[in-house]
Amino acid sequence: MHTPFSKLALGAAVLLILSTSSTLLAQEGQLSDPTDALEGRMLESTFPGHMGRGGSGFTSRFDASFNPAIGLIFDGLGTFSEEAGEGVDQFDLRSVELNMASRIDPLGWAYIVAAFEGDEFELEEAVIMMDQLPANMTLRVGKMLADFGKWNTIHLHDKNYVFEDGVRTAFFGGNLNATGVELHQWTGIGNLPIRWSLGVHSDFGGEGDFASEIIGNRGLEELGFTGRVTTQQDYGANGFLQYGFSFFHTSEGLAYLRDSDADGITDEEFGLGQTTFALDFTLRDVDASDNTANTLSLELWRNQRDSLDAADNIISSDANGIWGFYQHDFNPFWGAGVQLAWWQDPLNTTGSDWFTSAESGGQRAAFVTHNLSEFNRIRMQLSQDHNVLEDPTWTLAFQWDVILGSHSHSLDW
Amino acid sequence: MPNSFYIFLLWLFSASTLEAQERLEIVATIPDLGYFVSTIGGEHVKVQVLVPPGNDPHSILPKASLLLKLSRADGLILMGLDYEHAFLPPLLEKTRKVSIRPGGVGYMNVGERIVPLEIPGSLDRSQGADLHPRGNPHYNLDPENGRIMALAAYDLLVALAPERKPEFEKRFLAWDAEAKRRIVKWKTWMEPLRGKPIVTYHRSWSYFVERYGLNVVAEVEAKPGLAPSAKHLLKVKKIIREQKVEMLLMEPWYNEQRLRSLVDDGVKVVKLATTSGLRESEEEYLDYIEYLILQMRDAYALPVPSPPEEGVRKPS
Repeated sequence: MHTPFSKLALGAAVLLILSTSSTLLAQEGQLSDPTDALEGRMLESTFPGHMGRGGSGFTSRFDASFNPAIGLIFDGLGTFSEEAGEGVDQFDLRSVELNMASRIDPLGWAYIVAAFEGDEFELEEAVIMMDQLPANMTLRVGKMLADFGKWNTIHLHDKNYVFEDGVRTAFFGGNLNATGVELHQWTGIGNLPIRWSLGVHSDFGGEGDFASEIIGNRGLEELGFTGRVTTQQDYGANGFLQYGFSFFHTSEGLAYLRDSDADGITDEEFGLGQTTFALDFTLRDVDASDNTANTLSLELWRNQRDSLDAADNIISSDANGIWGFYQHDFNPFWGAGVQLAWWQDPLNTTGSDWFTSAESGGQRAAFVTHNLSEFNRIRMQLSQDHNVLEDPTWTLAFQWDVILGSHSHSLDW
Repeated sequence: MPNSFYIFLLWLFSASTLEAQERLEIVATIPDLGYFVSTIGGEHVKVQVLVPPGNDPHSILPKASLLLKLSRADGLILMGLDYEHAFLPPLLEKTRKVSIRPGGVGYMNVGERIVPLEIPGSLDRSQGADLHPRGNPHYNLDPENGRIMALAAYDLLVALAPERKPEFEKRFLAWDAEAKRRIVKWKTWMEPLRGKPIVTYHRSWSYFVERYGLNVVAEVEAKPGLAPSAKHLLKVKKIIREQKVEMLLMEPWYNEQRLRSLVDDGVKVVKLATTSGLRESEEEYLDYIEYLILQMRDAYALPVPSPPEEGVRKPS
């Protein structure tokens, strides 16, 4: 359904973005980044033989100046499992991820994350960040990992464990990837930093059956909305406690297959909704006086999802999920931890008992991580996965990640 | 929402505004820089230090609270030369306060005023993990560089509050006179150690070593930022024996356990942070340098020069 209101809302959003951009462009003189001049001075002083940038500011086709920063991440995985299937009992290059990032101008920057998985190529993220909006606001536009929970914006190879948590996989099919617009703002009340975001997305979904990538028009009902509010409190000399609340909602944005025109061919149509809430709690405590660290993270999810019954009627199911992990770092080179998850079948309308029902899934894992350096990491993980209505299976996994090229630390909260 | 909530918010806002009007809020990345700013700025500054004393700067988390501190600061003084690589770039990227970003009136990168040591001729990651393309950033361990740091703090404060220049100048000159006096004295104290072999854990002590002519014959880390292999430790042990090294200098955040075999050979392991402030007697930069020098003399069985400065502990 495409209501006049939804088109009006979209039009208003586009106008808002355009007007904000033009206002900022008008302020370009004030905002022009003085780092260029400073950087040139620094290069002259520290690299006596360095010629620096040309005075004209132009570059040739082959000049490396102004090129984006490029990084490559190899995520290799060996798995040995009781479960038969593709990708088990073998070594595999799970993904090769290409990252590129560069400032566009004083107003914003952009990055892409593309992953090669086997013979497939997937553009995981392609985002323009307008990070110089007033009042500490940032606009993210493009295909992105949505701001949902503490860990959704982190790519799997960067997480503390080998396999995605089962709750995220059951409710979203993996990290919630979305194409749209997200507005972020951070501020402080007293000494308490607070950040919030609101997103509107037309395509969304991880892997698996949670997807909405139908080509065609969308109304307000088919759009997906995300939101998050979070705060961090200091913990000890160099740690923090973080709390957050997130939601995802689409009224009819999930697709289903139905032979609606009775021509014997099933068609993919919009019409199913989902609402997901999550509470997250993370404790990260790094003792920089001896380089030990503890990380504890818990997320509690509540999901309501539509599905079709045998008679093709839309029915709604409620499901809960909880997952978390704990890791202790003995030093910068060695760490060990556990990961636990439990979830109810998101498509089961009858409900299921907490932790005991056959209609719920579970996951438990123990892992040891060895950082050969900041750019070279190996991990071993033993995990037991209990998918809904299936017997538990054990898997032993070896992961090896290496980072080539550009690398930076970030403030994730 | 109850009115009391809005009154509470108003109170928070007005309280912070009043405080900001009274004193300059300066963020210093390390305790030494914080010390210089508070010494020269006196009661006119409020200093917040991002790296606590005795903490490994590589392990500092870029937290939201640090972002908030930066966004409210009038000035930022940093070491530069990628010393703050682990936490400062992401915070500066997020803060919108142009005045504390590079080129801003409140931004002071002291590293730009230093002649850096050990600028790598070539750069790739086979050389280690903790690499500094612009040179070794631990220049605060040379007291002559301490004077440059103090001058940088003075310049920052004058830029932010030119009306207080006479006060700042008076304090700076007083401190600098004391620094010059001690530097002359330390040169005498360190003269007997010139050429003495020492081993360091990490390549943090280069400026100190350069100033006093010590001879670093080995490093526990075969490559900066990477854990030493057993083979490399054996090599270090051999060097310690052959060159009769009596002192191994290391930061408190490194693990001493793997060095037991070296200690068995009689080398004295001295654990010292690379900034002031860890011990009560080292709260001031000059006292910290003096404590470091006394530790060096003690390792080589030289007597404590008399009289030691007031407040400086004898090495234990």
